[in-house]
Amino acid sequence: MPPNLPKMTVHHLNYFYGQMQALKDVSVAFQDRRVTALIGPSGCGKSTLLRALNRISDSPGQRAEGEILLDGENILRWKGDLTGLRARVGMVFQKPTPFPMSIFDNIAFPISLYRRLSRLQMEDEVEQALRRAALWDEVKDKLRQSGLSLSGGQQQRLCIARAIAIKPEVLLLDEPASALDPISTALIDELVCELRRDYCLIMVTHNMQQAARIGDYVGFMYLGELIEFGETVQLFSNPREKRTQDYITGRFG
Amino acid sequence: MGSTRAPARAEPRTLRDAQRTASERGFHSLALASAILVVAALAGIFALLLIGGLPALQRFGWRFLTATSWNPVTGVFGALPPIYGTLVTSAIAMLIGVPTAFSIAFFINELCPHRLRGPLTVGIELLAAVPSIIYGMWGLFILAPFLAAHVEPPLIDLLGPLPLVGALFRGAPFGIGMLTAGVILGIMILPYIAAVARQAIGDVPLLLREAAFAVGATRWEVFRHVLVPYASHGLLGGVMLGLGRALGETMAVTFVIGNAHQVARSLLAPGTTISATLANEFTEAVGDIYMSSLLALGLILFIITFVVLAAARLLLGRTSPDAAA
Repeated sequence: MPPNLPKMTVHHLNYFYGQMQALKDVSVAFQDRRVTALIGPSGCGKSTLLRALNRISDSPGQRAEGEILLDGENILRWKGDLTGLRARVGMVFQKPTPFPMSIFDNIAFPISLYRRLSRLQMEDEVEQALRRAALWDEVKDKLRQSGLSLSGGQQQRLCIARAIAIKPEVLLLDEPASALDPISTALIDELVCELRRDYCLIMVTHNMQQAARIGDYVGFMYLGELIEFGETVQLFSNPREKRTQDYITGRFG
Repeated sequence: MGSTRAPARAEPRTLRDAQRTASERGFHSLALASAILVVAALAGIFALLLIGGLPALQRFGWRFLTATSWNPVTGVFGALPPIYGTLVTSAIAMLIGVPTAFSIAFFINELCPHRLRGPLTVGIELLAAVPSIIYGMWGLFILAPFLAAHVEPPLIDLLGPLPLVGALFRGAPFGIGMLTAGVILGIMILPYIAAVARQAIGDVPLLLREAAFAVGATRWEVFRHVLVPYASHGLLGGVMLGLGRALGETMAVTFVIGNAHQVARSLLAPGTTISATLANEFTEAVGDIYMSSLLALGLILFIITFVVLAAARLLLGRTSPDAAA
């Protein structure tokens, strides 16, 4: 696969929750139009790293040192409203989080935050997003129903549709399939591979098979450090670090 | 625990079982009796008001609801002024109380620094603990003169000349009247609505909140489009709790409303409410028809409150966020 420009670059990131240091000197580059999977045992900091990338966990008591560059711009010194950052760096969570509104409005609401569209244009945009998330055929006849009426797997695809509806550049996935059954998981995996053509995808996962299946790059994290980072095949077949080897062979974690 | 010991224990166990069955039955009956007591009390109050108010309702018929005269001397009574006053003051109270309470709930949940959260919550709960007579005195001595001097004159000057709404703001700035009563009520119901709203908004899952922020919504957009719809059940419950209180509140209103049996178009004019009328006149009600008219008023208040609660139940059933799930 041809080399690509990094979309997001993290330089020497230290992250603190109060006194507790959750990330230690993490440096990593995320390529555009690739899937990067972050693996590691619980509490290793992979979710913290992911959540720093769109500053969703911005609250008092949390502190970040270092740099996180989005197309060369340091988002830790983001000027103005964070909504602009989040429009460019979308996110899908562990559990489906449909908004308390209809299926249609779940997609239309985020779009309407950024663009004034006519009724027809909006219907078009919603259909496109749902098609991309491989959900259109299942919901096209019940767009007026509550988003909560869908199954868990459908809700998660609705959330992915919602995230890509606003045309972000980066999509963060925080264990997007952890609450789903195997069939839904497979659908999500397929969808992620499909979305790779247009987005920089960064996914946290507990599931090493998932990381191996759909990740182009894999980063292994342990105790707040990025232990090893590399192409998926190389990292899984021939890890440089002993700890990576131990983790992927199931010796700890 | 061996099965060999079972026969020896057979009899005490039977006794124990009998005791347990008895206590279980007793508990059942007690719970049932308590439930019946509540319903019986409700039915009893309704029956008493109905029987007591019947002579007046029979004498005046439907005109009791539409007539404005309240004349103990001639014995002619009409309930429109107190009904009107009750509805108008409650409406003003809701206009003031609901947006403020929701804002407070939003502030405490979303914006407030952690250290301030506790004291602020307690402060609002204390507001609910202030006896209504204190609100009445504060209203009479502080709020009414303040409104008369600083709020009502500009209202008259600015809004009075307008068509339609202007009629609501004409007349002399007494300070005593329906507006003042509505303001007091608004402050009084504020803590109830705020407490329920705070809880309801606080119960929205953190992940849903983050998801809304993650699509780039501002705090206001998250509040308006995600938190409020999700918490609509609880929020409406809080609103209805406040409305129920505003409709029935007596003491504070009696102090500041002016107790005038009239249907005035201006909000600044004195008026009366059902509960204020009852509180003022029960002791001096001479004659059967006078007393009966007051009881009929009570019945009307009872019915209004009942209808409000029933409407709330209906609305809640319809807007529940997981109704479709």
